[in-house]
Amino acid sequence: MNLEDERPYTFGDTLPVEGIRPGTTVFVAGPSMSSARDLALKIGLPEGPTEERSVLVSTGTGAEKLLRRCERVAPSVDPTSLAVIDASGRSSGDTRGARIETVSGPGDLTGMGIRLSKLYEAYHADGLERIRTGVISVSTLLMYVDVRTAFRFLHTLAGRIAAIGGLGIFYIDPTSHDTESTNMLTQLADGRIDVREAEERETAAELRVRGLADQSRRWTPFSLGQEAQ
Amino acid sequence: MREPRILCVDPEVDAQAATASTLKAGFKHHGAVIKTESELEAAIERLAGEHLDCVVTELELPDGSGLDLVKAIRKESPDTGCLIYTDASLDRVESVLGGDTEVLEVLSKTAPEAETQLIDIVERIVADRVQSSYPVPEDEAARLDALDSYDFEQAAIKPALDRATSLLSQHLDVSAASINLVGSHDQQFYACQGPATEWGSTPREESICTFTILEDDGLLVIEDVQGDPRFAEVDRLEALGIRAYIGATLRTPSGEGIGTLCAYADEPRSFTSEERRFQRTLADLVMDLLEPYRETSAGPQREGEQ
Repeated sequence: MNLEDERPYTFGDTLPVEGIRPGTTVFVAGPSMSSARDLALKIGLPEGPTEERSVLVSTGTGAEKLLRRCERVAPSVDPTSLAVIDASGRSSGDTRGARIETVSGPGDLTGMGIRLSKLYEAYHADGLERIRTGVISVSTLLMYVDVRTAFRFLHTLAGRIAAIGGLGIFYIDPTSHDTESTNMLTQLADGRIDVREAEERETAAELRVRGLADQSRRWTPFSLGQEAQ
Repeated sequence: MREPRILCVDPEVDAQAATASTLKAGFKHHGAVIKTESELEAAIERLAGEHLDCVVTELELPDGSGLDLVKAIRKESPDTGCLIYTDASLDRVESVLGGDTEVLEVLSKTAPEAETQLIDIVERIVADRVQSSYPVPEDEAARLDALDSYDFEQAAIKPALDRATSLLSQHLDVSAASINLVGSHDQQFYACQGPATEWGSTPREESICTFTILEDDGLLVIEDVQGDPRFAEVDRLEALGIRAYIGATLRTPSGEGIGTLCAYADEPRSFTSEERRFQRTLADLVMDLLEPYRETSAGPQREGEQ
């Protein structure tokens, strides 16, 4: 744990999201058919050739498909800097050198917690201190556990992320749940990025950041680049 | 941080002493109380008798596993945090515990800087309540200090507050109403009307008011408690016949939510905007009544008294 490293986690030049300080957890909320999920993924991936690592907890998508999606939203990402905790129950296939940990299903919160500890420990032992952790997605998790159990899991995980000076990105599709569940869960994070799809096809999707310092609070158009289309 | 109470469960005498000593040293500035046990049953018994902020346990115990202990804690003392701090490899932990829905934090005793990490994780469990299954206000510590600054022992005030709850239940035409004080781990029904007089205290985890004090506008209305995913699984609410709820936060002059003024209906129902306004106004009035009992001279620095 190198808590002296206060350099913010950054997201490239194209996204209208300023750097976020280590130890922070953010929800990305938007319909699953919008760019929200890809935005969450992009924010959760290491930026450029760096010493950063990412751990992605994948609840519904198999590791191979998730990694293809990663390459699409961030073509320069090095798969060997990624670890996937695959709870989808699907076979992994070609994982391009990414580290894969499999757990028995999206309800196996115990298994996920242990795998996360294991990966954080391994990175720490290798001197790697900058770790992004993505949960893609919380909505799938909620199909397997009740909202209070999900809250405890994510709250605990956010605490761990704060302890290691990491960055947490939890994706949720608010259209799949009642407002109470979404609001309750998002309260455990430091901030929230809402995504809405533009009404006109030719206009970009928009995002709005809440709860984080030094960010615009307005709806701002964004694009994940050509690869994401 | 108030003085943390931590239980260290480890069957190996030397390892138990080492962990306890690490915790003692790590929390020396907070005057931590560190207890030790070697077996599952003894640890569970201790939990029943006293409040603990965190339990640090080995994976394998002579009469069960660390997971058995975590499950008992979640059931009996939901606000107590847990950490499995083990000699076993994480692969071994996975093979013993994997496949469960229980939320666990695990740290290996052989991890790099394990002792520093142990202190760090336990501190977050105790101070930041990172294992709670409900949201805690950002100003929780200040809120609890504010709650403690009122002298609720003063008997003179209670009849007036009982009358306020009676007025509320008449106005809303419900059988039960109460003024609740939301403490660190439970809420007390301080002044009550109707069946609420029999309700005693409720753990934060099972309390609706825990959510009310988080509302920006200070009012929470649940028209159908059983239809709300946050409360549908809480058996206590069903057992008490709470099917609809309206609660207004009791805020101090400096803005901390110390409790709530609530009314409960035994059937799902809605509340009109006039009823909501009435609820808020009455909550403000309750705070006006409480103002003379606030000890402003004590200041914000208060030592833990547990």
